[in-house]
Amino acid sequence: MKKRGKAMSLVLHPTGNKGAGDPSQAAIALRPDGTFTLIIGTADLGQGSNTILRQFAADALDVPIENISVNNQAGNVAPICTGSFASRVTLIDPHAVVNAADDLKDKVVNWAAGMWEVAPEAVTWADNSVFVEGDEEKTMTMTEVGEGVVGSAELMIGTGAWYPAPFTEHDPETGAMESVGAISFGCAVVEVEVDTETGLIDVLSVIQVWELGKAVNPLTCKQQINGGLSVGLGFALAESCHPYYPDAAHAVEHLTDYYVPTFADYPAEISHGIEEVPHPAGVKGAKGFSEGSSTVPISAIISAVHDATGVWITEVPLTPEVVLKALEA
Amino acid sequence: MENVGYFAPSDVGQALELLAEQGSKATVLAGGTDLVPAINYYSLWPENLIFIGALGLDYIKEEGGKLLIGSGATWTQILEDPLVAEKAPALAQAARQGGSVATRNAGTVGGNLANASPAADLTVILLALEAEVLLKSSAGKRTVALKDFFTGPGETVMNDDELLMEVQIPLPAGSAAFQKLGRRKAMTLSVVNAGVKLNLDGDTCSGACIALGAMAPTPLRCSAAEEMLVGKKLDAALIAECAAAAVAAGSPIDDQRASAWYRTKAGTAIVARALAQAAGIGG
Repeated sequence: MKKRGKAMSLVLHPTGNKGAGDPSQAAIALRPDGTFTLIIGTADLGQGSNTILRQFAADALDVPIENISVNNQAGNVAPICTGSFASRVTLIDPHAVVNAADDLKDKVVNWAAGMWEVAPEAVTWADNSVFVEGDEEKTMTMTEVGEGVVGSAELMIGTGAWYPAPFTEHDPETGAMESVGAISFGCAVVEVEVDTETGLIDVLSVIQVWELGKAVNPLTCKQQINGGLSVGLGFALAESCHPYYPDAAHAVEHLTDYYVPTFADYPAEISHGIEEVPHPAGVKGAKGFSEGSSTVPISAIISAVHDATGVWITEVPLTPEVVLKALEA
Repeated sequence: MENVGYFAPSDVGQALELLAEQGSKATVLAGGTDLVPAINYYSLWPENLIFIGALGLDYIKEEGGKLLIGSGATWTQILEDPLVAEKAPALAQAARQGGSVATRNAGTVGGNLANASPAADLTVILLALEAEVLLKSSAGKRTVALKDFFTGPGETVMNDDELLMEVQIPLPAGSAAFQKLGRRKAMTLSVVNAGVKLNLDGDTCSGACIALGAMAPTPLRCSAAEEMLVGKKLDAALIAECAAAAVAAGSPIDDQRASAWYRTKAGTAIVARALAQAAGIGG
């Protein structure tokens, strides 16, 4: 028999390890053709950090995004990023990028002021160029700046770093610690169908809504929710190295028997909602969220199975075997 | 994998000669979907590979009241073939649920049988369809019913010098159905699978074949359960009783995919569903 159930779960997802210090660095180099290279140490494992940090750099430099390339692979010289974890990159790295942009702008403005023999305060950086307001002689496109910098034996690299707070210890008396940089708020609503004779769970539809400060790139936010759901489905329903835990018998040795969900296992209906409440700790109010999109469906699935069958299952993954045993108990 | 001999004969005669010469030193390569993982996981160290993909064994045709499928026909061929769809749709149904597109494009029906996995999907429906296999060697040929073909996990009655040439399905192939239970919806080996064939006279069953996979060291025919149906009108109660009897013929084990307990429980449901599907009962 097939039984359907629905449920909702809510999650507070920490973003950034404030208590661990959590530094990031960035550099931006002006190239001879007037374009820029953003140099970061941030690993983009598909979450789109290269995309959004490029957006932040273009915005801070007030230049077209096409004029920014990203290099996050220069491991021997790259600025430090503590890592792509704790949903921290969107909260922390943009500060370093903006600081690097400001530093580069200062350097270029100072150089132009020297060329033109004016005070740096008289030079404006805007519209992909530098100029002295009201003086048509004193204006250079960024391409001219790039060429000129090389010709005057300069190297223009702006650097920036961000260190939200020093490492904090737990309060010895209370154990309290200001551990996270910000919190994002997520919600999942799922509908499942449980096959009570085989224990198989079919996740029919999933809605996820996230309050994430500022959707720096709404498309990649949705893609992150989709990808997170896929991870969450595996976590909730299938992925296990020790199917008879705590017994170590039949430990899984190959991907043949480690069940990552396929597209066929993915729900037919997925919808996303994005809510923006700018967070004071982030650039433009942005904070991370997307790892939470893998956790929030799990408890919703468990609750929906309860709604369908009346049985609470408190271990994951809810493999067909676990489900059938629970239904029999 | 070093110093492996590789032979790609261009006709059956050459292939049979090579098999006769090399005996147990030869490993037959068709689609490679079972063989290559075995090599990659170091469970197989072949001395000589004999590739049989150039022997013209990829035909599907009807002849002499039988559906004849060359052992080199791929899963994709089977699931797309109009003759299979017409004469033995349950076989196409099983082919559709095996592996991935890539493995279905490469893997062959002969390989699925000769590999003799207790969980093989095409195997279990072919067993229910009372298929036979044509084996050839340089010394002669013989036909073996699939129910007598498997002797253990990875083991068959085939001799080292024999090549599996053809699968022969007697027609008409009754009302058949295949059901499979994996750990996800695609790209999954069967935790338990079942193939059934019913001959129906109105709503009375005049003959039944029930085959089960992943429930014993070999794919299994469940004769006691089959006999329960003959001469009877099929209804839900009889199907449930018969499914339990079919599964009782198994001797399942615990492995990475499921426990024996689960296989017995869920296997009963799978057999019942296959029977209901073949009988046209319920949804």
